[in-house]
Amino acid sequence: MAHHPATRLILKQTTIIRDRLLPPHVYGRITVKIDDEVTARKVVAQGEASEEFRIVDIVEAMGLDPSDSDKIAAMIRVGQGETVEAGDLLIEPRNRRQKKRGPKAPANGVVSLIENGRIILQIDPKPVVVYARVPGVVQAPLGEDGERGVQIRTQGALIQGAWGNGRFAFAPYNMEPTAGLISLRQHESLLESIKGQVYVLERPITPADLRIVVEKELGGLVAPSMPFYLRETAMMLKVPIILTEGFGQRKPTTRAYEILREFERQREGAFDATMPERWQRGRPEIVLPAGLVQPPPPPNLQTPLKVGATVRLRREPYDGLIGQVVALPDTLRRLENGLQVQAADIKLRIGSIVTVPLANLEVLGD
Amino acid sequence: MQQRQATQSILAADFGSVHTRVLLIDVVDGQYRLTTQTRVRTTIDPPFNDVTIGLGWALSHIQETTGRILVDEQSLIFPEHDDGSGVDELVATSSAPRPLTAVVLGLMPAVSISSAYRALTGTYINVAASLSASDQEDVETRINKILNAKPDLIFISGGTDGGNEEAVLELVRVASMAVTLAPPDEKPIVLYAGNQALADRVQAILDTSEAQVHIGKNVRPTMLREELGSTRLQLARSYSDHVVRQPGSFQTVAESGSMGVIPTAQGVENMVRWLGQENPRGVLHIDVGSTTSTLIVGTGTDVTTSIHTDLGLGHSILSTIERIDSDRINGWLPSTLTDAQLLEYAHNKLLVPDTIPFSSEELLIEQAIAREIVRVLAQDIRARLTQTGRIDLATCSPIIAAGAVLTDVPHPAMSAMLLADVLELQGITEIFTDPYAAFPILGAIAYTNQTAVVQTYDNYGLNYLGTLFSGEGRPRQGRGAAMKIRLQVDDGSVLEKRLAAGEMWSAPVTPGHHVTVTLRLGRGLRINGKRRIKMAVIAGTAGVIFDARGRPLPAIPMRRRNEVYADLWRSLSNGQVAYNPPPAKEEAPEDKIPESELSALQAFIEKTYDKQSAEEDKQTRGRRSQKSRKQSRRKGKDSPADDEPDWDALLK
Repeated sequence: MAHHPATRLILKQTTIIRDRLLPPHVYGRITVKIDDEVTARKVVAQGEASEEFRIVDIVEAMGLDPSDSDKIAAMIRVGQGETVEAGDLLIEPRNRRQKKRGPKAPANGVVSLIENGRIILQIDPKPVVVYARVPGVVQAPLGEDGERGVQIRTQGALIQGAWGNGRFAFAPYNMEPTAGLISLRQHESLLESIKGQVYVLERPITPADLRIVVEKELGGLVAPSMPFYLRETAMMLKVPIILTEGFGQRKPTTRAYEILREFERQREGAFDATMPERWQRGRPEIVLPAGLVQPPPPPNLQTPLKVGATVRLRREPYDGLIGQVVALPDTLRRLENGLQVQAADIKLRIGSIVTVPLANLEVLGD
Repeated sequence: MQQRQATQSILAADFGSVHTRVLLIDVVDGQYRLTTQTRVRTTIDPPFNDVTIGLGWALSHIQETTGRILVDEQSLIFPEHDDGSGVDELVATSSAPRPLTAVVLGLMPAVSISSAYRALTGTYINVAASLSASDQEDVETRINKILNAKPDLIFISGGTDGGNEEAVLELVRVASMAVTLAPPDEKPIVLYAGNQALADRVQAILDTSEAQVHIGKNVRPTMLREELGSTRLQLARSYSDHVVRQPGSFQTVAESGSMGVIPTAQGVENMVRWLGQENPRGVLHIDVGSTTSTLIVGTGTDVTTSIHTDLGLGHSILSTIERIDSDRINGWLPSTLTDAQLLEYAHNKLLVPDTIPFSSEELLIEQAIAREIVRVLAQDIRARLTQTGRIDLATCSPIIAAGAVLTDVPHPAMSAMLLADVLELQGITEIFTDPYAAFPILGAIAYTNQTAVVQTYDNYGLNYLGTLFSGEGRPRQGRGAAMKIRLQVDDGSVLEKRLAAGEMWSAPVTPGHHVTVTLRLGRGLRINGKRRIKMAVIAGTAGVIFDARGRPLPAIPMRRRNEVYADLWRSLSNGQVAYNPPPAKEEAPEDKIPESELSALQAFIEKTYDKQSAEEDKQTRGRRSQKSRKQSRRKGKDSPADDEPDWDALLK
């Protein structure tokens, strides 16, 4: 039986398409057109979020006949979608008394609905903006009405990770200095600002690293892993923390860090530290855009696992290692724990051959 | 090409968080049978975000193994053609998408609202708010309550048939207004199951809001009568509407079937309700999944359901570990794990929820957590049963177990041991496992083709593990055998075994053979009050299983666990599976969480951010006044902001 393993894309050059959507329950629209070229910092959609509605009943306030819809409509001076400020008169006054005592907006807001003589105001809406987050081309609108967001197409290197703290940055990045991240504490150079720069470590994050990020206003951290007990603290940070492997003492996946080293100081990166959650289907990733050149092929996602394929091994004792499939036996294999599973024989880069359940393999997109 | 008329072949798929299970049911020799089954990875997550890709892999596999063509130019062939290609019907169930968030509206909490809650039990639903007409809240408060709950579903019940009208219609108007006010892509679905005399007027009011509306029969047609069947069906339709709005391309699946996508748990409920009518001791279905775990029991037509969307071994492992006391998990392990070790394990498993434990230690941890999940579910069900029913979980039969941790074990008898351990099964229990989700799928098919359900189930739709004989009471240690077993197999062979107190044994009889079991129990043990049992059973994949540990199960001291578990594994698997645990460590290593360092670091972060944002505010104010001076000079010409964007603006 053909097996399609899990996928973690680690590619030096590929085409990347990402959705940029307004969050749920935000009223808004897109601000770009199809085929527009956008920078990462371009606003592609904006809207307003509000937690509260107020109802002003014109019929009741003015003692109108609820069935006289023409009279009600003639009296209301505001329209749906109109912005009002606290104290604004909501009716067309016919005399001084109505002007003085007529129904007024109870707070700043937007008229969401006028129905049966009732004006429903969305109170104190907060502006919400959605950025492109990667430089690229607007490919398609999203949502039933095409106003929830857009798809952006870009190209460059793509490294998908394991965990993120929910933050994002589009920023230049550096590998960790030879003297360690701690050496940045003494950094006084005006020529080379470290503020806003993301740093890539090839070792687990420590509490001291998080302190330096905050103290020196770094743009974020990328590392193979960190102790699980730093999770809550990392989530307090306003900049992205991306773990490429997971929690505890984990070795880096070599290919990911080779790519990061290659483009160090040459490219800015989109560091998207999406946090894996049960009902959110995103994953953390780093995109290193290469400019709009000839589109490279998109990642290869659907090919069944074959002998010769390069795979990354997940879960102990081989977690994070990369190897090549040398055999895909048809029969089930019994693991040391007694489970009988579909498995593959994998030749590791260090030369040894190990048997790994197919479920514990992932392909890298090439 | 000629096409046939009647529904004969049914393709059925269950989309779980990790696995998509696909079955093909067809008529063979005049009877519906499960003809083939397969399991692939669910492709709801990135990079696919499309469950039909995994379904396509499963169909390719079925085509390869059966030679039957199911797909033509990327779409399913409907109906089945005379050459055998295609299928007549597609049925789909799922537990993978986010549960429905619901707001329940009703007249009285103790009547219509409580009936509504009972109707919701078989669906993956979180009730975020309930509003009662008797609360006397104004329209504004009600609208805000509904919209702040961000519901996917507004469920309106209330009014007996021909009873109260105005209070019900007022609730419907509020619901209609809330739907109108919701953003275009997020308008809640409305399910009305109240006073039937109002159905047309309710529909007319809701039509003005562009709501997707389902009308079920009244859940409370009279004060004393409750009727939930029609509403459950409409809930299934509402769930399907919700599912197709979720990421994952469920729409294609829903449009291909006549019933949309039915909640997996509702399919199970239908089957438990059906089987419960013939099993007075109660039918029990347990599913330990990656995201969601469920336990459903039924007898007669009474079904009690416990769905926990926060308990699971993959996507929900962290919430599971946070909920269950680590001492309880350690109670099943041969070595103590610290809280830190358990949490690190859970944090990493959450990142790769679809992986398989490789080492013995990890397998034992997963089985220990699974036992505790079953315990929590059983506790929840027992609390509900004391209010409504008469079922003793320990004596239910049959038991159907689903979820990879229960179906994929080193030896089938180990699933039986796991269930016996945590449910403390007593007496004679038939145990099945359901690795391909046939049970919920058959329950979903029941809505359209009950003959197919009955015949497929009777023709071995599930994996029959075997019959478990569990002695009740406390066996006397060292005074002869606790169980003397004699098995007369229909191939003429005879097996005899004596079990000492504390032992289990899985008799190695080829599945499908008829076996006459003669059992003599030692002092202290009984089965159904008897010390001698003679009965005929059919051997399952685990043969016939005997448990002489007694009830309640004695606690095993940690220092003896490796020895006891090694004996149990050997006797249950007849030596096929070696027990290779890590060396036992009775004393747990000390947790190395630097609490004081963490507190100091968090305080530093808060203080530094406060300081930085105060400085930023100061700078922003300065820039604004500079900018406004410039703007006034330039007479209103705006300049682009040169600040770094607030990337997380959308999070605020």
